[in-house]
Amino acid sequence: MSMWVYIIKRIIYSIGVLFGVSILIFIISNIVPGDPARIALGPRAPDWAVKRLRKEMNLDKPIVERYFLWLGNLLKGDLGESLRSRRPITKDISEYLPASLEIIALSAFFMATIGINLGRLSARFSDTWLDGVIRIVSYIGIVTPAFVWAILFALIFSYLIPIFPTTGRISPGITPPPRITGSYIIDGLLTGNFKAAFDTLWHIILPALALSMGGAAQAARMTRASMVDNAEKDYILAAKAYGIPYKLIYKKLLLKPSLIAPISIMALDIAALLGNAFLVELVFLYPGFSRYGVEAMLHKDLFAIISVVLIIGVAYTVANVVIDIIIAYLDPRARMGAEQNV
Amino acid sequence: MDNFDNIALKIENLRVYYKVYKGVLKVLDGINIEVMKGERVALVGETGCGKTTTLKSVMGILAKNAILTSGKITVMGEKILEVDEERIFQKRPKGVAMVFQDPTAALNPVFTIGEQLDLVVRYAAGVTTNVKEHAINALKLARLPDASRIYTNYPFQLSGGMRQRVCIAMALAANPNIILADEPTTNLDVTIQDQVLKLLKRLSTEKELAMILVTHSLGVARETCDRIYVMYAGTIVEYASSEHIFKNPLHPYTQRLIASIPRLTGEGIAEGIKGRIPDYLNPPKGCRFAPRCEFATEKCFNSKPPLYEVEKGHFVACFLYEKKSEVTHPNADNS
Amino acid sequence: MYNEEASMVLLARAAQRDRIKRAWYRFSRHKLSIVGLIMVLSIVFIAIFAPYVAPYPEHAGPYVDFGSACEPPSLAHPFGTDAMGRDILSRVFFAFRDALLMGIVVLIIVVPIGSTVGLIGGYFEGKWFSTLIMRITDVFLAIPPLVLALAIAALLRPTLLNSMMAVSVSWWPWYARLVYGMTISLKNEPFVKAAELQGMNKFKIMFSEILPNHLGPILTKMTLDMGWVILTGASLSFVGLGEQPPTPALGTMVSDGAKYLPTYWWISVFPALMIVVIILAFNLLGDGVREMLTSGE
Repeated sequence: MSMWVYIIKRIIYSIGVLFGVSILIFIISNIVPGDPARIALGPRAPDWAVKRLRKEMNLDKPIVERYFLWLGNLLKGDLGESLRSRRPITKDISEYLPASLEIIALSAFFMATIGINLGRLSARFSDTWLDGVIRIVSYIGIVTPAFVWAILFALIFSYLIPIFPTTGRISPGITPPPRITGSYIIDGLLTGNFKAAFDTLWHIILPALALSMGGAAQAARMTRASMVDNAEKDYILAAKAYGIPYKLIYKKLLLKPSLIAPISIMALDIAALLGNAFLVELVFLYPGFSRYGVEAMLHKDLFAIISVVLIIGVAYTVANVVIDIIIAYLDPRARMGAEQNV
Repeated sequence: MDNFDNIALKIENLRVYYKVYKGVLKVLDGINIEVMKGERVALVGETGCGKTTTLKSVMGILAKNAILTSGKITVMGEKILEVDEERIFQKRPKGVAMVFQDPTAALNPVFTIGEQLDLVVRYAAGVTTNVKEHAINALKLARLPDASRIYTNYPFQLSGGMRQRVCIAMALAANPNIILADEPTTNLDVTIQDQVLKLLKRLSTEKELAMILVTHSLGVARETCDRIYVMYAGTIVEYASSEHIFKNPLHPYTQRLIASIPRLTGEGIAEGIKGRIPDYLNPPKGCRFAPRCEFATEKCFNSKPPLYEVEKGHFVACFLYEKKSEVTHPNADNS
Repeated sequence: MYNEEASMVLLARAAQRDRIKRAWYRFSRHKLSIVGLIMVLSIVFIAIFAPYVAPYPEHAGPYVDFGSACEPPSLAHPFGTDAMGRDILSRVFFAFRDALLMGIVVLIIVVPIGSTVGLIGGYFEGKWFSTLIMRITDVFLAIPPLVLALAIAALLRPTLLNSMMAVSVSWWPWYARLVYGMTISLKNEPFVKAAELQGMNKFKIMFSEILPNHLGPILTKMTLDMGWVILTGASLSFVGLGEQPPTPALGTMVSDGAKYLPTYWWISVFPALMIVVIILAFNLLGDGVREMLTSGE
């Protein structure tokens, strides 16, 4: 019961933060030097056209009024029109977002599973050669940026040893499944087009792996540290003294309290993941949301940029809430004594 | 002590060192302790004298950097630890349960009391049917009100005193013959300390449990236990019945300890003991108390005193009593 | 009297020397910290003396020699040459300059702002303006820093200075958060209460009583952040939102080279590895600094 109260509180607070985010983004987009309409149309466009676009974009109105106009549209699901493609941004994004969500979901999965299991292994064999190797690998994982991993992986696993495809989302010969959710994997599975689903999965493994390396390494380090730390706690010593089997201690009594720290910091790793997706999609020429964002940025497509940042803000906030729910599940203190936490 | 069958726990010549960054801490220096069945024994000494290390050696939960250099431990006639030149024989003792000093640290924060108790019932007591009843019964034995609610609680929802009772319940759930209690009241409020001690005492009487109570307070030791071992810097300096220790303290250290108990009669301020526990990296070659002892002679600094039986059942490791008695325990082999 | 004072000064100096010696001992106990220090010093040295250290200093500018384009690593060109025939090693050396400049400038902007916000937020916790500024901080933290930096950089003109601005805007909240947390845990300490009872000015309490206690963690974070800020700068230029060619920038070099994968792999791999080296260097150094400032043993 109290867990739901906690989660609802957390969600309400997040909505407040997102409201703040919308203001922040709007302010930033308005202190840009230069006239967005002029930038959109280029230096040679006639003055009357610029004037008309300014009116269309409500640039002639005061900033507060413009914010509320924009927010009103936003709540209706209208993100405005791309200045570049002259299409509704909502349409653009609904096309590109599922592709990115596939990568992000897979890499969050890699991050948690690889990270936690490596950390567990490292703690289980602490101070042996295996622990040493894992610790060095984790350090390298942390200091190597995702786009460098992307380049190295592409070089090794798709050129040197061609196991994985180099670029794109699906092989040219394969027809994508009809659109239901927009995710080729889910749609492929739903429509029985397993070939397309598998091919898509095959395409996103390298980018997802590249994106997850830093977070996985961080999680491995944290898991190891907190397991080694907790292994010396009295409650684990007591469990050993009571003759509870070693395996049960490691997999249950020691692991659960030790997961709280690594999962808490995963919130930060997911922030890094969402940012790094911009570079990694570029390396793999992946037609995803982040690449759409980069294109928008390079062309100063104002409303598209605002929308991309806003959606990432939403995604990040949702990820944070999910992580908090996991923590609440793991840690009774968080879910039951949570009144002062929000 | 003559009848071998009556011994619940026997620790012989136990030496435990710790490897640390700066070298080797020679903490336990040949400890001998005997506890009879159903007997309550107190282990008294200052913080850092090796009391907890002694208990952890029995439980087989010494820290990773601990080195067992000698010793033999027998529980209910069964050998659980033996160190000889070639190898260390060690097994988990059956029928021994430990109550830790800090109940907050001794309970897993993310599992309910019930989940933790169930595991103890299942694996320590070997009970596989009606596990929950056994667990709740243990809570009731520890005089916890509303046991079935506490069964569903998490440790952080309980007060410190209740947590310690839960730890005692957990120890009881293991169906032990011997309970090792490591300063079980240090982290509790003064008013609750007494209740917990009385609980332990009563349980030990009712269930004929042998008990080692580790404490730094001689007063607590006298009230709760039949016999007292006084420990100083990893050595047993004196042991006797609680009565004898107070009536006739022999070792200079015991005398200072008793003198430092504050009295309610207001006969002046309690005295402390000058100096500090020796550096375990380079402990004194002879008697470890010698540097702080006002009676120390050259001999005290050079060789370790054996245990002398000064009166029946009253032993002291001090050369002051060399002439008055015969050597009974070759306490240390002067290695 | 005079002599006494002089000897006091000497004693204080000896104590100071002793402190430095002990800090150095703690730092140097871990060999990797020394490796980090040496790496950082080398990077700084190379950046400062790039025109003398680089084998082909003229290749840092708009130099073109298609005759020797895309040459693989060799003794003459240890990192190979790029598509315009420029020596990659020389360009990397020159790129260190702006990378370091980026890190230093951003931290100089970000640390005072973030710390001040965190101090005010923490010390006046519960007051409305404290709540307000910490909520604003939360709003900034709700956008992943790289995304925020990219968006701001996109809206500005792509120059080094604007990249620095963009990264700074996304970075200060982390210091605010750090200092906020530490200030809350300190503000009820006896020494703060004592200063309050003496009627000391609140801002003086914040900056001269509380802040000095935070310097250790702040310094540690700054050292670690040097690498991360440089990476963020490189990420901006990777996307094309940083400095524009022909100025050598690590990110630009990597993304330009990525077009020539896999045949001319060295064009992007070596600059990419150099980014790793920079981050690694500051991380190792930062671990050493943390060790030096925290462990009491």
